[in-house]
Amino acid sequence: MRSPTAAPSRARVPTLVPYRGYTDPDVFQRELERIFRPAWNYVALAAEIPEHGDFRRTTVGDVPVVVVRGKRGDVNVLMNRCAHRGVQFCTQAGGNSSAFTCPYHQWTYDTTGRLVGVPFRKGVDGHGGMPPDFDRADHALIRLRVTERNGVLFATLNPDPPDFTDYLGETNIGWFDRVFDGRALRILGYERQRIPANWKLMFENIKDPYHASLLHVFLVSFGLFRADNPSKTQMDPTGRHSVLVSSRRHEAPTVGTADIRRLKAGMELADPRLLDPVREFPGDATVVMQTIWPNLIVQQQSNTLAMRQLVPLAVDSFELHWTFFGYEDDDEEMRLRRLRQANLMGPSGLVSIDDSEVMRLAQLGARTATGDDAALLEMGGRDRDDTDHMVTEVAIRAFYSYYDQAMGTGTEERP
Amino acid sequence: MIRTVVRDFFDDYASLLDAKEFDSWLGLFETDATYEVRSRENLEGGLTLATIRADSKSMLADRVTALVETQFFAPRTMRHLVSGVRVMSENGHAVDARASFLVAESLGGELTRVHTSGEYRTMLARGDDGLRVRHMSAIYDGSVIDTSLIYPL
Repeated sequence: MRSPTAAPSRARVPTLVPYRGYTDPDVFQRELERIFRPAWNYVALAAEIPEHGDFRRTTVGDVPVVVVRGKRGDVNVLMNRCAHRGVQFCTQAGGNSSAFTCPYHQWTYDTTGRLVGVPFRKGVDGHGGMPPDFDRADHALIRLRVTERNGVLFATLNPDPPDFTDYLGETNIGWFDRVFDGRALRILGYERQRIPANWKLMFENIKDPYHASLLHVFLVSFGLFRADNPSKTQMDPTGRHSVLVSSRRHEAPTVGTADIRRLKAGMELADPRLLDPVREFPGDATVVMQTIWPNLIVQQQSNTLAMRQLVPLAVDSFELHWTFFGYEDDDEEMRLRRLRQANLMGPSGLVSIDDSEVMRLAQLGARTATGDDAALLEMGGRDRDDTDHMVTEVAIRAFYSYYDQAMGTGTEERP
Repeated sequence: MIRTVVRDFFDDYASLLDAKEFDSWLGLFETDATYEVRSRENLEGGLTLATIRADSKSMLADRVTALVETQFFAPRTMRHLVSGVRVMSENGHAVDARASFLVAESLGGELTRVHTSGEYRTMLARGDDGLRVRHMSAIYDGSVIDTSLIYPL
């Protein structure tokens, strides 16, 4: 449902994406400042840091941070940069510590980022020391604003961030709460890959169900995702978030599959336990892929659930950090099912290998573009309205509508 | 003595993989063998998630078929170097062995690069016709994979 206050419907809907957006380092720098720093960035799952002092190292855009559980159960997101000389003091991916000490001069901070120890502050044998007016309270670690929704943690450098519910918008918050319904999560493990492509190509990929029914022969061959499956695409009022919803049917391939050249009809698994999906959420949807601006994909394909965190590294490089999870109340059978279905995803995923390779090749293509050369986004029309099918690039158009606004490059439609 | 046999086994294992002779490679596994490729990060964190997981030889065969028949990726040559073979323990039926691996990846038109390094931790069954994998864990060291890990380790 469109909120009446949503102005962006007046913005011109882009149907072309200039290739220089994937290759220009200045554009990338502006994205870090205008897109990543002010937005709610996914940083961790609360289940990763249940106890006081539990921490995970991650990033908000290009800013390195430590996500740490405080004494009173609160979560602090601290910039991983010593207030003294800027050393990135935390080098472990995760662990437990009641204090963080910079290795350089052993400045020590508690789990709220407060500076609690400065060696030689009063000098040694009357020599040196900090000036008398040095106050530790002035030299805390920079703390980001944090919000948590049903066990998912987001942080931002925005001093005045929007309420997260408003940020995600009516339709998308509902899909978010479908997976994060308040049940305790169980972390199954991490996967990480570095892809030599611009970060936006990852979002475009997930926001584009059209490709999935053509490129992912594995999914199509086993009926997990097909162009003739009942599907829909829903955006938040701004267009920055979106969700693709699809429901598997059990009939033989009929419509649309004739166009898939590489389709392997009649392929069967020697050990069907690799794909043994069971329905676990209310409703008919069997695949729900949600993209949350600016750095998160929530993946539910059958019973494989994962957070995919986008980490932008450079204009032509990003990392994808996957956190696979289930629920604390999963039985052993479900736990094993999720671990087996994880074969579809990650750096060796029978679905995601295709995507990583295509993103790499898309970047190679973008590199050769000149002037105003641009990619085309007209499948399904030129609008940015919700659809009830998957033969569309509408969610990418919606993404760029909002992107242009965020970057200050949008063009308003003439009244 | 047994170390030499295990070393020969790994030489066969690696050369069959690099030659993409997957049927012969699968022939090195017992029917109920388990196979996983897992990051050191997950191993040390006590997390069971594997990058590639096969709970039977059939499931591993399914992966190879899916890889060859359905996946899209640019053609490439992989080269495994296996060294540091050690026998941790052995009896008449099985050998607990470990080895280090280094894998180079060569894509057409690009420089060869080191893709992965790590350690095999394996339980090998002793049969009349040599060693067979009962369990194979390929634990890779770096937590970040360069683009994709396409072929099994």
